[in-house]
Amino acid sequence: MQELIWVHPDCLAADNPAFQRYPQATALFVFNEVEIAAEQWTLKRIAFLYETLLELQCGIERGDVVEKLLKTGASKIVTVASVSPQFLELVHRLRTSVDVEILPTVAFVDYRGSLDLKRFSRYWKRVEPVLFGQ
Amino acid sequence: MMRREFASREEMAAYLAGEFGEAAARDSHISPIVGGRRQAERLLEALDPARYAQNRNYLDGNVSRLSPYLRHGVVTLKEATEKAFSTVRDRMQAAKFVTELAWRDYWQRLYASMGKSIWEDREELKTGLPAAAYAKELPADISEGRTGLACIDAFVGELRQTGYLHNHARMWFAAYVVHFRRVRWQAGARFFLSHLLDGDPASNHLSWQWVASTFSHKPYFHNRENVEKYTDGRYCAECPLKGKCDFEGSYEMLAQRLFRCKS
Repeated sequence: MQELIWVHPDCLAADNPAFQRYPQATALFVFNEVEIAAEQWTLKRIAFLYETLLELQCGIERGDVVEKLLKTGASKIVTVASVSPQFLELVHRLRTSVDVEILPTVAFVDYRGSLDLKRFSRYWKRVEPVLFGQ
Repeated sequence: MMRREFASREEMAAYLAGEFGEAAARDSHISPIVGGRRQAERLLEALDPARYAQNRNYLDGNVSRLSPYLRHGVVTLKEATEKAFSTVRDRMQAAKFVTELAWRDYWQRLYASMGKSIWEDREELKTGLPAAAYAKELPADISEGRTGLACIDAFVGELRQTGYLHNHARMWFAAYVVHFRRVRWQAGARFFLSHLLDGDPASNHLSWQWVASTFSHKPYFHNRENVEKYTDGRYCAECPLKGKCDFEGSYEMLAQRLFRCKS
């Protein structure tokens, strides 16, 4: 098996950067049972994701995310970036066994400078002119 | 592999309840809000940022209801922004809506720098009360929607059944939990995360911290008049506690009662 697209809860679009870069690759989503238990998810949260996944061309599993992804035998895992610490931990675990390519998300705003995040007002002072062409 | 073919939504719900028994035991409601890109596109087409700017704070206002789809990347912030701009003649007519999208981007950027510390107070409380004054657990009468307050109990019912609440209702609920009942924001944030279809520690936890005052200059709270105005009186009219509820009074009176400092 070549590349496998790892679809995770932050990138559930059929045109996400991984699907665009590897249109022929198979894809897999794994319901992370550790995360579901830790965040005490109720059934409606799972059902919402499930309905979304049924519109995508990807397999669906549940269990240990890393184990399920590695079990496919893929030589490379391709996915889309997320700021979630759980995501970063999973990537760290995956990388001990397989090559992982993380594609950047579509940016909200094309701002190259550094942003002060102390308060929203400071962030907005920089971002607003870019968005509104001021 | 899990199943992909179902004759109906009910069949899918029954299958998922069997596969995810613990989640179903916590709460087995299936939201009327349907997942997927098709539904997201319907909402994008219905987007009305100009009216949103006028009435978004009312529970019946023209809010987009895109948050579950934005949270899971079904729609990107950029796509929603471009859609909003395309519906108005002057970009500034979409400014309020795009500002709300920017908040989501801002929370994500902060989450990237905070990681798991997003569960901890970002700053000290500005309520004048010590952290120890706040209970660690959410009282059962709140999580079960039997406080007697018609608005709060209705919000809990809606949250449990649909996994969605209007932002103003989220703020009132959070203020009630943290300030009127003196419960740590983390307990309320955990409750929301369990139910919200758009549940995401970035937007959720930092909004709770904003209400609590651990990520703002002062605590956010409300009075009954405010709830009555933005709900068109739907809860107050039938509330058994009307005239004697926790939210009665001016902001000055409530601040004196709730906090140990000027707010």
